[in-house]
Amino acid sequence: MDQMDFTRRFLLKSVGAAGLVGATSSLGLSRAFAADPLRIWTIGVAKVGAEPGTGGKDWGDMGAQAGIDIVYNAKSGSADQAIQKFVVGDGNDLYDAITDNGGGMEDALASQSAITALDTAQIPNFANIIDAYKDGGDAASTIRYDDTIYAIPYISNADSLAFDFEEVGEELTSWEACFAPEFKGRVALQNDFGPTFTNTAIYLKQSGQLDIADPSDMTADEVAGVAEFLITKKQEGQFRTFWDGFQNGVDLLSSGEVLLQSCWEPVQIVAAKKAGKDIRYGTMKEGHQTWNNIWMLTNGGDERGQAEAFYKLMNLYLDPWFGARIIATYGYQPQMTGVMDYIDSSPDFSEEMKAVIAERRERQQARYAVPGNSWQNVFPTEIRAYQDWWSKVQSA
Amino acid sequence: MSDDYANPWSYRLMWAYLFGVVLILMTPTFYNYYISLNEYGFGAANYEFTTGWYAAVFSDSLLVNAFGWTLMLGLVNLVVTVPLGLLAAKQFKRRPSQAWLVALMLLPLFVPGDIFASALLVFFKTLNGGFQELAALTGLTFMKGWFKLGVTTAVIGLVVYTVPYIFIVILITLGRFHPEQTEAARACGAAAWRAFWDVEFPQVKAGVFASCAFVMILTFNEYTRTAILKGGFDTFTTVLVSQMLNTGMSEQSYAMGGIVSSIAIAVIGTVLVVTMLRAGQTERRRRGEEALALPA
Repeated sequence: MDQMDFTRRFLLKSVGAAGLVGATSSLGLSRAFAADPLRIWTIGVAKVGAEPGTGGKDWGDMGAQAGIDIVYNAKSGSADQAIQKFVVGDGNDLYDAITDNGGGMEDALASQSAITALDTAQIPNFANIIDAYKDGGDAASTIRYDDTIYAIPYISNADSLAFDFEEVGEELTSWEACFAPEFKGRVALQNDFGPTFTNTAIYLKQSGQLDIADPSDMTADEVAGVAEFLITKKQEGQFRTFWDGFQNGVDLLSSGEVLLQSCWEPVQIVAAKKAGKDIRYGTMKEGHQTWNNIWMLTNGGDERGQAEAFYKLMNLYLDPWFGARIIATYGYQPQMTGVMDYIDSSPDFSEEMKAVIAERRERQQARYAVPGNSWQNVFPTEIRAYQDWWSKVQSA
Repeated sequence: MSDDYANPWSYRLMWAYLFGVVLILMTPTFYNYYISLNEYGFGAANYEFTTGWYAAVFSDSLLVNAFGWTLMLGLVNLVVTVPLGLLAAKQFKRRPSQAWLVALMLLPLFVPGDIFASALLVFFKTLNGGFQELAALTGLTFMKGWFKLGVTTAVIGLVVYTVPYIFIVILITLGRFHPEQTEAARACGAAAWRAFWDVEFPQVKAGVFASCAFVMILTFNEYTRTAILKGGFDTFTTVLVSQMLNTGMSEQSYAMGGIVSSIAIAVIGTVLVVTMLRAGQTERRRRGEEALALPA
């Protein structure tokens, strides 16, 4: 089921009521009832199609597999905008379940009572969750606030460097390549201070060029050091551009405008497929920015009696059915165990697809094994320093 | 066609230039057509011509729904904003010394979108709380959800954003209008509405129609304010931006862009061709009127 249908009758009714625009809110647009479908606010990569390797035409396959009706709304804003909508605005009235922008949103929303604590006993597949999320695990804090679980992870990855293997001529294994003179003007970095500062900090720290205690949460001086390094490289003409969004990232790589690009794995997968080139996703010896995305149940959704539908959906997100398809389609790491066994026993996956998935899993595990990895942090302690220095990098 | 007294070459050059400018302005849309007619979509190494994505547009319910919502917001915005802009422009025309009115009308243009949207978000949150209190006190529950995020809040955000543009466009067309004409009509016994409709409106209708087009364009282009202030529905831009950021735009989105561009080109082309065909006739009429006005 799709979001609220927009029919010709509704259009006429609404336009007819234009003189009484104040009354349009009472058309039921901002109210939900217990019997309603689950209203979700999320991004396109949160769904897969029943056919492996596809993103699904709409949310029908996901809804059918979870056994619930879903109404989807496209999420497109930044973490700040999302928090604003839920803490200041009445996002809780609009949506039952939402996803984050990665790295700390659950803390911000839980501390403001915008989301509700979860009863994992209602999610049978929670037993399948990977060790990283269990008590004491590397990612345990990313689904908890005050030691209480507030979120369910659905995708994660260790972001790396995509490169055109044929043009570059070798397997790249270090961030050094991004700053090497031979690739001057053919490199793109992400237009986002989070991943770009973090990956650069990881490189500078591991290569001994800068003393950085925690690349995920740098001090103001450390941020300044990383930013000044990027500014110098930018002024030397090292970077072709800073990419913005999936589409732009794919365009730059597939067109050959850049040979190297720090990016998300789906960008590399789609660019390679579109261009028919051997574009690879390397394992960087210094480390990577690791991250995850999570689902949260809004307080409004809970009050409207949508918890049961939410738990059913979360059960699907921790089911190998979803994990197998998410890695096949976008390359993201599944959040549950048993994925390879599921794929091996499923008739839905061709031998060719199984081989692709196995290779992606292997590279993923290699990236995760690098000691220098750092978790993404959307709200670092010195966020103002990050923002100020990022604007200097952009304007340099 | 030209009249007998004008230089045919200057006439042809003028229209060729005008068509050329419009064509250059429209050039980016042709790249969109190029992508929308490829079986493999954007950024693909292979190109296989297909019109299939155009057929698939209407099966993309997310896109079609979003388009419908945006169209509705645009129409409601148009009905509210154009009369507001017209009234404000008329008010200024009547008292040109009121520079503060222009400053006030243009103020929203100087506020960055994010700040504008955040301010309105806080405002509506407070206003909604006030109305809920009022509903609780008076028992008038119908006003309880008036200012919850929804169509109302999105429209108000769009109105505040688009009114300055409409005010300026109509003010420009009012430049050649003399208020004495309305006074003369009123002196002849016409009611205020009759004076406006028969005397003023024919002279400002170009500005009004341009404003209507402007409102629709601004509504379809607006993202930041609408994304923050809308309710549980998607608009065309929120869907496209979400796609661009997260999964890449679907091939249907390019086809939808192609359809919208085709409509725009058809409308602009028709206006240009009709204007060109009528230009000679208009010029001859003008010369005739000038000749009649000369003293015998």
